Amino acid sequence: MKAIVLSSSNNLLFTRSWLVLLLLFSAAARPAGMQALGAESYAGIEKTYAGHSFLVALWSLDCPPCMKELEMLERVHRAYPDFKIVLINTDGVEASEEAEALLEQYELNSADTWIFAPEETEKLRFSIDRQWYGELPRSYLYRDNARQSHSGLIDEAQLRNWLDSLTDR
Amino acid sequence: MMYKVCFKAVFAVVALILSVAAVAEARDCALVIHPACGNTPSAAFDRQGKLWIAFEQRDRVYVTSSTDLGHSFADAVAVNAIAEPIYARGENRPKLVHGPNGKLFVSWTRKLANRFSGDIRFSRSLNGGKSFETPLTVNDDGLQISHRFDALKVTPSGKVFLTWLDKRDKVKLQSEGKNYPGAALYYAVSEDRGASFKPNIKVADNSCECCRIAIANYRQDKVAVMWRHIFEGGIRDHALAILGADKATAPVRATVDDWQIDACPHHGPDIALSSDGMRYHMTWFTNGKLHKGLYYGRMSPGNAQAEGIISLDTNANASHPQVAVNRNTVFLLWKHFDGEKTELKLMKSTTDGSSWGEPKSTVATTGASDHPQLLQHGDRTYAGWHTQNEGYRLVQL
Repeated sequence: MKAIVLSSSNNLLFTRSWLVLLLLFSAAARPAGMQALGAESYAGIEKTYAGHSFLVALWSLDCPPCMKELEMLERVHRAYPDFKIVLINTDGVEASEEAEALLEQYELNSADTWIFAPEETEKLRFSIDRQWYGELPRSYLYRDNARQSHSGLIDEAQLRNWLDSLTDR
Repeated sequence: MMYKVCFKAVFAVVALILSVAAVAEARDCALVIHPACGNTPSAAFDRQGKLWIAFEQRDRVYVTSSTDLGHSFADAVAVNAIAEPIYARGENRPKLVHGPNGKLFVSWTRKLANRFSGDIRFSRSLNGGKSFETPLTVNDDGLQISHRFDALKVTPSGKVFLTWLDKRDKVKLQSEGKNYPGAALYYAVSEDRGASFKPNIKVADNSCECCRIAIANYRQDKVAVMWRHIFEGGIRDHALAILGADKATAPVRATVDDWQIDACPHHGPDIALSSDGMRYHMTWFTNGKLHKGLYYGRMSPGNAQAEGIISLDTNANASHPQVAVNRNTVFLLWKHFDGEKTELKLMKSTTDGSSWGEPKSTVATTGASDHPQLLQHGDRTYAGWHTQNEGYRLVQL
């Protein structure tokens, strides 16, 4: 481990040491990585959250509007920490290192995160929504066991209004 | 009882053999450079009917050839001697075209450190594919930003046209606090058989930033390009322009689908010159108010709108249409997933696109698959397709 050059002040040295330890601890204690989404997984996700209101957001590393959406979801996640967000990356497990790093950057790695398993993209898309043409970002808002699909960036104001109107989150 | 035990034993042995074979095959790809092991193959026949393929594997672009329609391949030759991360997924992939006198030209997008950033790379072989020259970077702004989705074409006289999506203008305007939707379409021309490229020329501002560019030959030694554009109001319909050695025409609206969306379709168009050289056959994907799914249309440069527009497939599981012209036949090819298998569908016209036969299913796969490619040699037209289970296949249409 590289030596950290610290201030000569003893108090500052003490604080910074604790900070370093805290960071190391939190890094070690971070949640498990993204789960692989197989052909049966999406049905499983819907079952897990049945009866609740939640959001599923599909994204790709190669999608500039998706980055804007993740930024927005980070803000929403901070403002509504009890609202469940499920994030699904469509690039496939080969990209999982990069995808995880990105989500950490956006502090969204505590959301329920998934990545397309090495199965046919078409099959996985089919298991999620037969009416989806594959454009990204793509999202599904679930409420009262019904879902609303949306292509393109989610409107943040609309999402917040919707969240404020919920009696259960 | 004995019969049941025998059957179970045979089954177990067969399963073991298959699993060992599968593992052995997986191990082979770790040792072998081959189109079936690599990514995103891009193929072209040469004049003699030899099939050439460029593909990416482990941070290099490789080129190989086949004299038996893709059943076996010569040892692959690395294009870039020094490994570099390369975009090889979906719409962003290496390209290969044949130049005069057996020359081979290859382009690809190198991945740079920042997200979405890349450089447009080009190399050529002057000895029929035995070796390739040190790659050039063709974008001339010197910026570590996004230059991606290269498309490559050679004209009859041997001019090389290389076009791509470029964010230098976006970066500049954003640094001034201004908004700039999408990217810009740029191109560069080589008039010395790929030894060097002239200064970059901008075709249009505000192209969609993540769809392939379609490129086709045009008369007078020019090329035509078709791309997904961002029109006023955020409408992601298509545009077309003709590129010359020194300048491009102003873009015209190629499709009117009214697709207003801030998203990445990852789904670019394709274009082919008609047999009389007077118009374009276009095929594209849209999810607009006016059209949803895969479409075909004809466009004459100089006309205000496309004509003969037909829907190929409105299913959400149809994708990546391709169009090609061979003699008197226009071919349309696309992928269609039915829940179990992915098929390549084919439709033909012998009336220059005014009327079409019924769509026919050709080959299928139950595993993962790449985008198909239409290829031709002489009067034969083929589909080139890389699939997980079958490797690289060439199917005569």
